[in-house]
Amino acid sequence: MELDLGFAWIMTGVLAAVALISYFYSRSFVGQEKALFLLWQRSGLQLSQEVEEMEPSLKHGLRKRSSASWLGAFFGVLMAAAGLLVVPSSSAVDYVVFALVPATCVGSIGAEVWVALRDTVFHPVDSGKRIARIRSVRLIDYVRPVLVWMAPFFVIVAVALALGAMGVGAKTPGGIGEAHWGRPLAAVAVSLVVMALCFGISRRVLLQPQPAKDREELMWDDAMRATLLLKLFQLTAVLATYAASMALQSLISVAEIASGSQPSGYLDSYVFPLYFIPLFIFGRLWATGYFVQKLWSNGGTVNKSATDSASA
Amino acid sequence: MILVDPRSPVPPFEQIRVQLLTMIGSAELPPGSRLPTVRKLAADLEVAPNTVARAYRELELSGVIESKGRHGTFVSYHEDPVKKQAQKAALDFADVVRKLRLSEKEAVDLLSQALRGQF
Repeated sequence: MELDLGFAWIMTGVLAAVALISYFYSRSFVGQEKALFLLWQRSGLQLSQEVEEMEPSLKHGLRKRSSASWLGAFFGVLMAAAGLLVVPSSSAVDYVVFALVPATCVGSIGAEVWVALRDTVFHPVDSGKRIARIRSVRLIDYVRPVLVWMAPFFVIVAVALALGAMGVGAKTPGGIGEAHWGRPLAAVAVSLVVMALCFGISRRVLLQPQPAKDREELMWDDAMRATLLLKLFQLTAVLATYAASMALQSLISVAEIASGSQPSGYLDSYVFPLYFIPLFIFGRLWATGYFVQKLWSNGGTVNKSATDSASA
Repeated sequence: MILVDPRSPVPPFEQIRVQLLTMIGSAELPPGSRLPTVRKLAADLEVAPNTVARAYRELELSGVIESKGRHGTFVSYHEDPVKKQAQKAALDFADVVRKLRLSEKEAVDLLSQALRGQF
């Protein structure tokens, strides 16, 4: 018990230290250069002459989001630690899996979303030209449909499996199987709430103004938007898959109890890695500039003739 | 893409209207395309929402775009928005001619002179 509690505090300390160090790193010159390099690499956009002009604004935007993200993560760790003080967990693994990691992820992404909704990346000068996209954009212009629908799919699977586990558990002698419902049901409820929040927030992100003076600025703004939306759906998909794998574990355990044997936990080790499927898929698709294909396939050219006639 | 130049002598609403009309005419914005909301486009272009609303309203009156309430504003399904607008102008002209009790020949002559810039 004490060893467990010690491990929980060590993990809390490690995550808090990582968040703080990353926060200071993100504010450093090297950190900002790296953030810009990563954005460029993942989006696949061209680094042109114009990028050098807008680099200060881009770096400023990236630094603000990155700093907020790491501060949010640190705040999440503090919240989890406060929870551990109030209710000392009986299992360090439960604490890390159900409190520490989710609180850190939610804090990190929540703070980044908050900054993204509060500030725009670029601020064109008052008297300068402004450019805007004249077509309404959708979520699937930034995130691949397979990634958008992954969370709802796994949540439905998780609900079905949890209901199955409840159905089988009700038939177990003395209702022993009921002990296995709590965690999956909690995980399903959390993933449902997070999924609803993510869809709501992504709608707000799409309505956020994108002031830009030329197509280059709008493109890079799109790149930052795509990165944020991808993070949101990564979190949602991971939680949903996690809920599904827990519900499957629960069903297996309850089925073993119903058949008269003790839960072996043998299959658990095979089921649990399902959790990594979305991480793997996201990892594979992370680098592709999907939004470039969807929104900038025609090069995003400004209607020259119309502009000239309007300015004449 | 749409571009607004605040330093241009052309008012911003007219810049938006003309560019939209050209894009729809050239099928760059095909029928059924959903346009951004007035508030969103105004925020992107950093102009007053009334400016965008006026451009949208004029295009809607010409039948080029149509508002479907909460669902948003869409490019109308018809052949050529420029032709549609010209037809509307011709109808308005015919209306005035009828009210003034002018003959068809007189009306056509007046129109020809106007097109040649003889006034």
